[in-house]
Amino acid sequence: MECVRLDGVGKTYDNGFVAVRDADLSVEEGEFLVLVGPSGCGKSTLLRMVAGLESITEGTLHIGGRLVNTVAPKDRDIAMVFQNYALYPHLTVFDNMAFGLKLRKHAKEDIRERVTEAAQILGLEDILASRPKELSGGQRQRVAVGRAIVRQPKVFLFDEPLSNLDAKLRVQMRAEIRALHQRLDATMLYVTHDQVEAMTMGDRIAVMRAGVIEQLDTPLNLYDFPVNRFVAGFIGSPAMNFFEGSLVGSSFREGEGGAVVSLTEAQVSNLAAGSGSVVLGVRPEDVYEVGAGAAAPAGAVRSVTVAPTLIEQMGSEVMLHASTPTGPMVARVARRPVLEPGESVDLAFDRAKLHFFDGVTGVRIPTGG
Amino acid sequence: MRKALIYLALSAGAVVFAYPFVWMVLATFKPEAEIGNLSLLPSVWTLESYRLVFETIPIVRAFLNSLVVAAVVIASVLVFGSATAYSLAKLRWKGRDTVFNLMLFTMMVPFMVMLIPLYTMIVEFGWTDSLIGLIVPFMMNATAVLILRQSFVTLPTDILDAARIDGCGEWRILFTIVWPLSIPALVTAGIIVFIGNWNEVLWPLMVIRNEDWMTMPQMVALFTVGGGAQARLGPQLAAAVLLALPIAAVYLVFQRHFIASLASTGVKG
Repeated sequence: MECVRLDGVGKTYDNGFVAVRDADLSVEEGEFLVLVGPSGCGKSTLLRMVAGLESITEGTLHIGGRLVNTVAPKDRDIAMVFQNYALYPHLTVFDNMAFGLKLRKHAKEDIRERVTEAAQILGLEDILASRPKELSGGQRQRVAVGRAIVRQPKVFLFDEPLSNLDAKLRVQMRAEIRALHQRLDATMLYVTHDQVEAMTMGDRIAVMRAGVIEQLDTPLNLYDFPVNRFVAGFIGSPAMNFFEGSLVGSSFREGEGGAVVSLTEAQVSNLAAGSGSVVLGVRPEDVYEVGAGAAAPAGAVRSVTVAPTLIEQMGSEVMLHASTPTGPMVARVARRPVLEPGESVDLAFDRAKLHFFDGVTGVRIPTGG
Repeated sequence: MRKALIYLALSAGAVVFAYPFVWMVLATFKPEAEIGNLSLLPSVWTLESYRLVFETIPIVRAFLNSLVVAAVVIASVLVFGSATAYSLAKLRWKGRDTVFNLMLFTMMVPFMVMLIPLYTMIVEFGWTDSLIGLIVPFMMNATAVLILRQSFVTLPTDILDAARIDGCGEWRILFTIVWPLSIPALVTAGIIVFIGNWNEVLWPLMVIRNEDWMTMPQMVALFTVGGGAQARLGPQLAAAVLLALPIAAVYLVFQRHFIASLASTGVKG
């Protein structure tokens, strides 16, 4: 069943700035949906519109089948976790979590029960009497999550809840929130600018840019079939490599000294129907070193020769950073001895994993697999 | 050596500032004949000056009048002033900045300019010779709004949003979230309003003729300058001390908050 539905939702500010444009989105009950995009793309605005903290200037918003465009935040049956925790500094952890329940006139016993249960889930039993300023960042964020849990809302909204935490804690909290989602069987709408967070947490991900939802899909579909160059470059780390060029004969050619990739017949016939200028995309992990004895797949063809400018030893693998005529590229190749300065390497691209985009519009050109 | 000089200079400064006040307080305990020289300690301690004050004028009644006026004015300024300040600091509405600038502008206008129009209005409303006439013109205070606004602006907006989602309306946010986090600013605004109101002489002199409704500074002024004390210094000084007492008390009680607020802009979450 649909829990949250946005139809043509938009936000235009008084000064004419359009923060969100024509957003269609539906969150299924029990789903974990992530809104991701670079800062300023409108993802937080969209979330705040669902919360009722920001007015909706176009379109309709339904929560639990009810039209809530003009309903006050407190009557939308939602709870929200903020980036900077937004705990009430003058209240104890217990009172922070109980605040919403008290306002809703829950019985004292019921409040105690719910807060105690949430505290157990989140491991906060020992600090219920503390005030927020006595807590660490991780504890504060747990309290903020606890404050949302006790309300047992229809939808949980998260606004970049982990970005104030250090890297290690972030990974841990990521798993905790994910586990919480399964335990509570809750519907969650989660905003982040971190595509790794999005990929690891979301059932589905909506990638936003400049107020527009570019693609809404499962993590793997986003990764394998990005609808345009922006999504392709945003999802994945390190980012996809792009080569601007055109189809010449049966090969993609980047230009003088650049990549030359001989293509399959299917790829050639699909590209030939296009406008001419083509962007070839290949992920760093689909690049192989020629003749290094690494088990390159059958589809890998010698494509480019580069002189790496930076070599990152990751232990298990090596990141080769280089530049080609139309931009930088990164290859994630098998562990190898360190290169001599100025030494160049031949790289092969896995033909089965190539992505093609229109050179003008950036839209994906399907090439039959 | 350098340090000693600094201490010496500072001590001299302290004496210059403190001596007149200390002298005044001690002089009220001297017999009338002894007042007039610069010596500090009385040869005989006496409460005669105070007895004369209480005998000659209804100063207790004036004190209560002042207290009622100050209490109502402070309560009003804190409630309505903080609501205004909250709206100016944290709510979004058309013309907000214009209103804020207009409010700042009213602070530049001297009270004297308002005196005649205000007096005419109070007379028209029939509020002369009543506490209402002393209270209503001061129920709002731009300085207090400014102090409160500057403090409220520093509160993280997310906390207020969290409260909205938790179920608060704006008034409840103001009183259950914003107030507890802005105590130093509230105290400062309250003290400034109190001192200004307590010391106000001109306005009561205009609207109050009936001794029953006179405020303390008005009564003390009429008593000392207006001839009620019959040129005796003792009762005049005693009345002045009584007038200054509440101010000193308020300052002593709230000193910590007052300094905290002047030293920092507010509380952070």
